[in-house]
Parts: sequence; structure tokens; C-alpha cells
Amino acid sequence: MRKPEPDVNFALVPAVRLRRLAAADADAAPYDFAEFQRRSDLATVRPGSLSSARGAALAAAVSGLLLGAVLWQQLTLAPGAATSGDEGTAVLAQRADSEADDSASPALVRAGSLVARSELEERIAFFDAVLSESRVGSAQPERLAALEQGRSELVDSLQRVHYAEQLMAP
Amino acid sequence: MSRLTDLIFPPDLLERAGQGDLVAQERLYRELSPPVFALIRRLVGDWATAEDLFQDSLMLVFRDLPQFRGEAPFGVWVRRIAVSRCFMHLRSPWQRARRALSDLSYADDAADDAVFGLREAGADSGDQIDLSRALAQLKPVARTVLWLHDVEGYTHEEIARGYGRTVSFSKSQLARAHEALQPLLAGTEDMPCASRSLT
Repeated sequence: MRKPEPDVNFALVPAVRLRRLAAADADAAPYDFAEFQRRSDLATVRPGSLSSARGAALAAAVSGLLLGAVLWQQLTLAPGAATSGDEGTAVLAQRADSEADDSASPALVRAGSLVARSELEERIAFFDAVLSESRVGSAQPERLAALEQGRSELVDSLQRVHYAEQLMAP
Repeated sequence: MSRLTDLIFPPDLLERAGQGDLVAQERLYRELSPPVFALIRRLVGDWATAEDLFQDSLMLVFRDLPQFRGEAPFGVWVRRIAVSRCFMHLRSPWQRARRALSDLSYADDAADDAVFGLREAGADSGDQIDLSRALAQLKPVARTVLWLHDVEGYTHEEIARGYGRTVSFSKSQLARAHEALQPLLAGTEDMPCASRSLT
């Protein structure tokens, strides 16, 4: 025997209301095609402009650079490292002055990590799209495994860049 | 589902756009951009981020168009790219930290954006504005899970995979979103308890 339907007005159910809202969403693009093209041309790191291997290599290089900078900073700032107490204070003061005057180096390091991060995120997004497509289609398990492996390596590289950024954060 | 999945394009238009024909690309852009932007805005909340992700998504669409084999409807393929870009953004530790810092001011701004967008579009329904405002009050993750599940028809497994989390994460976020929506919408229309059966 069929169970009686609950006494519910489905027009009031959240999912139904949300779908009505989706159907009524603003019918406007944020900008026209000319502006889209202009922004595409301006994009400094275009999707697919580098292979995943080059992207990972770039990330490794940038994270190495950042880690090197952190180590150098810690060695320079370590009290008594290669200097006496007074000399250490002088080095600290000199560094503070020089950092106040010249913010170009940190900015360059941050720009480098930003580019690496953007590139890696683009590549991971691309892998995600291909993986989704492959899972829906009838891709070979080997191809899926290779794609997942590639994505995993990119995620590792991205984590290294994040880690290096955190070390560099003031 | 969003209007994106309902769009149908002639194969020759897609082929020409994939070959770099600017007229075809412009026509495709005109059709695709409103639903793609609306979807992304619903998923990420704020306008500026949505613009960036919209630009990225459509650049990927035009770049990968020659590889589109037509096995799935074109709108579904485009939606997958856009949602994938949003997932990338939402699960980034950097963006999570940024959202946590701006959480206090975020809800009001997002609510204003949402209502402004609807009014600009000529929405005359108070319910739509109330619902939009209530949605904007939700935590970003809960709102995204709610939209993907209840509107776009994504399964908990798909959402969990996108976030790189477990199915339980998706289910609990959806339950929290429904729970949070209930008092927010209490004054607009009565929400039946049976709505939980949809989850």
C-alpha cells in the first residue's frame, strides 16, 4: 500500500525556492566581449602557457629562492652570528633602515611566488577539468592514474609555495 | 539547475569558435557569459572574485574548445570548468585565510551585492530578494554546498571530491545551510520541516 504524501507545499521547500531564484538571476555579463579579450591579452600567465612540468619546476625554483631568503634572514638576524653583540645590533638597525628604504626585494619575491601560485592553480584546475571529463567518459584507468599523479605533484608543489610564503610572512 | 545547462549551440558555431573565429567566439560569449557569471557569483559571493573566476573560466573554455567532443551537452561542459575554477578558489588555503579575516564585513557586503544585482535585473519578487539576502548571510562553504546540491544537482560525492574533503563534510555543510536558512527566512514564507527530506 502506498504511503500517503506528507502535507507539504513544495513551492515553499528551500530547494524549489532556490531554483526559482537561479532562474531569475541577473541576465547580465560583467563586461562585453571586447573587454574580455582585453583582459585575456593582459593576463600575464595564461592557462596552458607552461607545461605542468615547467610549472612544477618554476614552483620549486621559487620555493627554493624563498627558503634561501628565509635562511639568509635568520642567519643575518641571529644574535651573535658572525658578529659580536654590538655589531649584531648594528646589523639589525642597518637592515631595518635598508628595508624601510628599499622594499623592492620582498616585493619581487612575493610577485615571484604569486606567479608560481597562479600558474600552479591554473594547472591544477586544468587537471581537475580533464579528470572530471575523463571520469564522465570512458577513460583508461592508466590515463586516470597518470592524471591523478600529475595533479598530486602539482598540489605538493603548491603546498611548498604556500609553506615558503608563510615563512616569509612578517 | 542553472540556465547554463539548458543552452544549446549549433555544432558549427562551436567548431568555428574553436578555430578562433572571433565572430563565433563573440556570439558564444554573449550567450554564455550571463549564466556563467551568475553561477560563479552564487558560488563565491563577492563580485570582484566572481569577475576574476569568470575571466579564467571563459579563457579556459575558449582554450579547450577544440578538445570538446560533444559527448556531454556544451553547457554542462562549461559549467564543469566554471565550478572547477570555483572549487580551486574555495579550497585554496590562502583564500580560506583571507575569507576568515574578512568574515565580519563580508556578509553585509555580499548581501548588498546580491540584492543590488537582483534589483538591477528588475526582480520584483520580495521573496527572491529575501532569499538572496538570506543566502548571503550563510558561511561561504555552506552556501556553495547548498547551491551546488539543491540548485545544480551535484551529488555529495561530487562536492566532496571538488573540495578534496569527505562526503560527511558535504552532508554536514548542507544540513548546516538548511538549518541556518530556516530562521533567516522565517519571516518571509513558512518553511516546512519536510524540506529536510531533500537532503
